[in-house]
Order: sequence, then structure tokens, then C-alpha cells
Amino acid sequence: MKKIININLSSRLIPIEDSAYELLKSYLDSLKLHFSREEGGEEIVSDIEDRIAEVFQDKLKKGAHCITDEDINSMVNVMGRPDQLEEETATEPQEKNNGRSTAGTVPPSVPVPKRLMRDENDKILGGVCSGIATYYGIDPVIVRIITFLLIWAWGAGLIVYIILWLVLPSSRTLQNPVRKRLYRNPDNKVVGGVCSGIAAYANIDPVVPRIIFVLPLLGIIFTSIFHHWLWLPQFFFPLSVGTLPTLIVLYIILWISVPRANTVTEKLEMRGEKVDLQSITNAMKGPQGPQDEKKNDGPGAVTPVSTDAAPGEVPPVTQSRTVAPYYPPGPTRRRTGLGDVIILLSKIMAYFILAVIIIGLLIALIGMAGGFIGAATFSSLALPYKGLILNSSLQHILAWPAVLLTLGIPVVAIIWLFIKLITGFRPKNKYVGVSLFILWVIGLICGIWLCLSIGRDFRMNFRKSTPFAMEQPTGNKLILSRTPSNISIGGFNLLNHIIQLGDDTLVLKTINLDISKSKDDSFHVVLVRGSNGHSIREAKSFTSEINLNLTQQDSMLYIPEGFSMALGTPFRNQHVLIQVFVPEGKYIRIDDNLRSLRNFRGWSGRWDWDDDDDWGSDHYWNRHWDYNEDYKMTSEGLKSASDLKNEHDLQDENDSVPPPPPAPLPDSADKRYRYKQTSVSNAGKGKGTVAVFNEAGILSPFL
Amino acid sequence: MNIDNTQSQMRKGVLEFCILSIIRQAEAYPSDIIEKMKEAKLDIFEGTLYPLLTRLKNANLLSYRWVESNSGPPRKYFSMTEKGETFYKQLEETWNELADAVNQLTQPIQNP
Repeated sequence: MKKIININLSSRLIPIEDSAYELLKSYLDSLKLHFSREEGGEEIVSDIEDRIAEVFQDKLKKGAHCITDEDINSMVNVMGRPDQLEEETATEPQEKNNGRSTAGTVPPSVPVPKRLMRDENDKILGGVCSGIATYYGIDPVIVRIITFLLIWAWGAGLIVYIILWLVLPSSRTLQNPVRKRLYRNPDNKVVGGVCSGIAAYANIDPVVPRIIFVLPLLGIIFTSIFHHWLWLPQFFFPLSVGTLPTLIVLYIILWISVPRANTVTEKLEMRGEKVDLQSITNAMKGPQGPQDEKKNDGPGAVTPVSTDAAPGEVPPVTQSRTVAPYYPPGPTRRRTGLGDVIILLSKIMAYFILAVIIIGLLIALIGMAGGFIGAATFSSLALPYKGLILNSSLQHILAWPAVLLTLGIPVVAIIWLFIKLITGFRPKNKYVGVSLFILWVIGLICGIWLCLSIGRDFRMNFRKSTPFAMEQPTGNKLILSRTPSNISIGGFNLLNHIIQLGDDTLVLKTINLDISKSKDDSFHVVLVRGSNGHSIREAKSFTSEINLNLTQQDSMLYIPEGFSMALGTPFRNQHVLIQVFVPEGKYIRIDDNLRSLRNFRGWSGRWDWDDDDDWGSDHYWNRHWDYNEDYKMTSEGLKSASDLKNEHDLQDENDSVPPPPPAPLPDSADKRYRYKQTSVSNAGKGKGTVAVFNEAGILSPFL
Repeated sequence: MNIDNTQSQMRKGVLEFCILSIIRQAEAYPSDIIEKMKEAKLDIFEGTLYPLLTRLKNANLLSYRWVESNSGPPRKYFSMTEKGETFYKQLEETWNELADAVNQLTQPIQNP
């Protein structure tokens, strides 16, 4: 019967026979004694112990129950007894005296000249970056990032790299003095562990770099949501939009070029901690939980641990008194099977979230670019206006998911991401992201379907002209004025007040006015009602619902502010064009109160040349019409009475020679005069029916 | 005259050179070095290696770093220093000269 004890030899658990233990102990003691004379003797012994432990562990792994006397003996034969070692290394201690002479060939006082070389030990491609980093004593990652950026800069970095690769000699002995390295931290990561790694490198909280990376995104979100309510500097938004792609690109570059800290050594380097036995031990202990609190029990390496077990039976470990903690043999079993799957899934999640942000951002940017379209769509889908746009029940059904999902999901995703980034909270449910995405896609499909459906409703248009039975005014002048009305509808205004939605009425003010020359010598007024619809028939029925009443009192023609429709009638671009034909030589005047009708804006002098350049040249009077002023229809078009007077004066002056400098005219009058020379003639010839005085630019294509 | 002693004396001379050339090829930890030596049939007491490594390290010819392993405590991985490289070059030169000389002296003269 033999007693088996467990010993901790160089951090390995070794079951060993009691007698064998005694042998081992005496052998190690003799080694200790032997090497105690030498510099670094303890280190030598501990290295040898390490080797012995490794050999024993291999033996145990191969099926041995425990270490026996024979094992010790054969080990000692392989390793060598102190006297045998003496023989082989005898001269060394002597040599130590005359020098270090072996080493003396390279005098330590003379530093080896620094040379720029490629580092063969730490290379990704050719070791160029690593070599440069060693030369300057910096982290290779920094050099790699710079190289990467230079490669992006039209390949300049690539050429430099290849040249250096060819030119520089390689070296296996380079030692980068920098021990603190930039790594990506896999233990505490959100996307790629870049921020976490930076934080570890700079010794700050990971939240700080994360916020810096997310800041422009938050800037965009908050400025776009709250710009109405919050005062923000003017540059804030463009700054955010500008820095975002830069930061994303930077992040991706870092992701690619910065290595991941996989091993404990690398993790220690990441934090700039000294990599030695103690720190590795501590670091490995950390995540594995408290194992051996009683470490550093003493310098003695071999310590009996437990006793009494039947031979051939590995006794249970009852207690461990150790120099260093015990490591379970075999590969670390942290990541296997399920663990791998979870890691994979969380990675997919991370990429997915990134994708959602980018997509959401794209949508936001597109939405902002076409801001008014978005606003119009949204506001028309908002509750009170829904009926204006939506007609069929299909559209009603589609509208809600389209709006809620397409707009809501990115908002939810961004908020979710924000919370995750700040708190480091990791949701367990992997399906959240996927389901959000699917919902968003559904919303998008609904939206597209809805838009197509609405678009079809505007596809056809119909116009119907009805002459207004008017009496010829007794004078030679027709005055257009607004129908006096004391009814205030109130309610909501849409699209620059074109659409007014009251509690029970819908008023459309899409009334356009066109004044052109009459073919005969009497005034004529024609009402053109028009509408769009998904079919001619529908457009026709919408047209027939337009109820606009003009009234005439002698020379006064009253035009109402708008026409009403039944609430619930969808807006399909119902509009009215009032064509007034003025015979030559007769006058027309538009009352000032029509100026306040914004749908007559085409006539308004308030509009600048630039605003409606397209048809501006043909409709000169749209911009410079003087309200409350008589205009005379001449063979060259409409001319204001005052202009005619000026012209007359000028012509008088032109008759007298030599031509004096132009009469000191009022500035505006002068301008009008000159404009008239170039374009009034066109306006006169203008074909009335072409006139499209529409309020909102976006509706023009439908007219 | 002890034959063992003479043999070990002969081995000892080249041992440092061998260790350095193994480490020069790639970073290595002691067990690797022992394996390589065994492969090359260079039979030594393993115990010899450790004092040599420590001495070479103390002479700044080698440096090491700790690398944790999957199957046990961290290992010392040795690599060459710049100084070690120079040292090695000199040893190599000496070895070549010596080997040539020994070959020349031990081979029977075949081509007169």
C-alpha cells in the first residue's frame, strides 16, 4: 500500500506517491543548492520545476494514475543530477569571471545602432509597419492605421509600403519597447470592441469614447426632432452630418486594423500592465472566480496537499496550498458549442444594429433632403387631414402601418441603441432586432403601396369649361373683387392655406386667374373646373362637385375666396381657373382685397423674379401687377394706366431733339417701363389657357 | 580520461550555438527547444538547458516574455535580442571555421 498525495508543482496538480514525493523533493533541493551559487539560480530551478511538472502532466494525461518512484528516476536521468549538470556547465561559472567575455564581444556599453528594419516577429504583411513602430518606439497599431489611411489616399500608402518592403532588411530580433498596445476589447464590446479598447488604452471609462462616436448621430437626431423647440447653433446640424461619416469610417478602419485582445497576455498589454507571471496569474484568476485565496504561501514549490488514498486512485483534492493557482489541464473550455452560437448571434445582432442605424440615417437624410415632401405626407396622414389624401379603404388600412412602422421603428431602434450604448445593457432576446427590422420592412412596403395607390388616384385629369353668363359692364371697365363674406371657417390650414379644413366643411382655394385678350369687343368670363382622379370618370365626378359662384353687379365681378366641398371628399387637385377675356381698348382692375387671397399670388407684385422663373417671362404682370390700378388691354397686351401715361410723356419728349436725359421717373415706374419693353408684348399675346397659377409647386404636374 | 566527460565537453561547446539557432528561427519556450534538440538527436541532460538559457538571458543575448498557455501556467518564450544576433553571427562564423577544420583534419585525404 502506498500513500498518494496531491502536490502543486508549478501550478499544476500532480498526484504523486509519497515516496516519489520525497525523491522529487530531495532532487529539487539538490538542484536548488547547486544553482544557489549562480546568478539567477532560483529562476533556473523554477524553470526546471516547470519542465518537470509539464512532463508529469503529459504522463498523467496519457493514463498514469500518479507519479511513481520510477517516473522520478527516469525524469532525473533525463534532466541530469547536479553533478552531471556540473560536468556540462562547469566552465560557465568560471567563465563568468573573465568575462562575460563571451558576451564581451559585444560591449554592452555600446548600444546597437538603431536600424530601420522589417519586423519578422510581428507582422501582418511584410512587417514594415511593425518595424517602423519599433524604430520610433511607438505602438505598431498607430503606424498601421496611418498606413491604412494613406492607402485610402489614392494608394500612396501602398506604394510607400511596397517600396519599404523591398528596401528594408528583415529582422527577427526586433523588440518593440512599447508594451502598452491598442487592442480591441472582446470582453466589453458593443459593436467591435474598438471603443472599449481605446478606453482601456487611455485608461478611461468605455462610455467616453462611445459617446464621442455616437455624438454626431445624436446631434442629427436631436436637431432634426427638436429644432423647432430648441435653440441650437446654426452650425450644429451640418457639423453633426459632416462628422458622422468620418467617425464611421474611422471606426471601421480601427475595427479592421486593430487586433483583438484574445489572450490574457494581450489583454494585459491592452491595459499597459506588466506582463509577468504574477499579472497573468491574477488576470486569469479574475474571470474564473476565486479559486485559491491562500496563494503565496511560501517560496516552497512542492507542498503536500492531501493524504491517504488507495493506490491507483486519484484522491480528491481537499485543500490546495499553492504558490500559484491551479490550472485545470487541457484547453480552456470557455467557448464551446452553445457559447460559440451565442457569440455568433450577438455578432449578427451588432452588425444588424449598425445596418439599422445606417439605413435609418439614410432615410433621415433623404427625408430631410426632400423635407417638404416628408412634411406634406406626414401632415396629410396625420389625423385631421387623413381623409384629404386617402380615398379607398385600402389606403386607410395601409396608412397607419406605413406611417407608424417606417417612422417609428428607426426611432425605436435608435433609442434602443442609445440605451444599450450608454448602459452597456445587452438584451438577451436576439429576436428583437430581427423583428424590428421585419416590421420596418412591412411598414416600408405598406408605404410604397400606399404611395403607388395614391399616385394612381392622381393619374387622370379632367377639365371642364363653362362660360359665365355675364352682362357687359356699362362702362368700359371690369373690376374684379372678392365676394364679401363674413363667414370665417377657421380650422386647419394646409399647403400655404390652399386647403382649409373646418369642422364640417372643406374649403379649397385653388382658384387661378388668367386675364387675356378677348377675340371680340366684349368681356367674357370662362370657368374651367379641373380635377384629377384614378379614372376620367372619377375626375369628372370630382369636377362636378366643385361649386364656385361668381356674382356680377354691373362692372363689379365678385370672386369668392374658395369653393367648398363636402368633408371627406379626398383632395385630388380640384381647382378652378377663371379666364377673363378683356377686349382691346377696355380696362380691367383688380381690387386690393384679392391681393390677400394667396391663391392669386401669381398676380402678386410681392413675388420675385426667381421664384417662378418658368412662366414668369410669359406672365410679366404676375409679378408687377398693381392692385387698384386700371389696366388697359392694348394690341401689345395689358398696360397700366400710369405706364401708358408715362409712355405718352416719353414719346412726347422723344419727339423733341436732342433727346434729353430721361425724365426723373419714380424708381418703380422706371423699372416697370423697361420690363414692359421686353416682355409685355408676350403677355399680350399670351394664350390664356396656358396659365397655371398654382399655389404649391408640387401640385403643378397634376394640373 | 573519461569518455563521457570528453563527449559532454564537446557538446557543451556547441550547445549555446544550437540553442541560439533554434530561438533565432522562431520564438520558443524551453520544452520546444528540448523537442527540437531531441529531433536532431542532440542528447543532453535537460537540466543543462535551463542554466544556459538563464545565463544567455542575463547576458542580454536573449529576452523572454510570458505567454499563457491553454494547458497550464504561462510559459516563458525566448527570443533573440539584437546583441544575441551579433553574438550568434560570430558563433556561426567560428562554428563554420571549426567544422571545416575538423572535417579537413578527420577526413582521410582522398584527393591527393
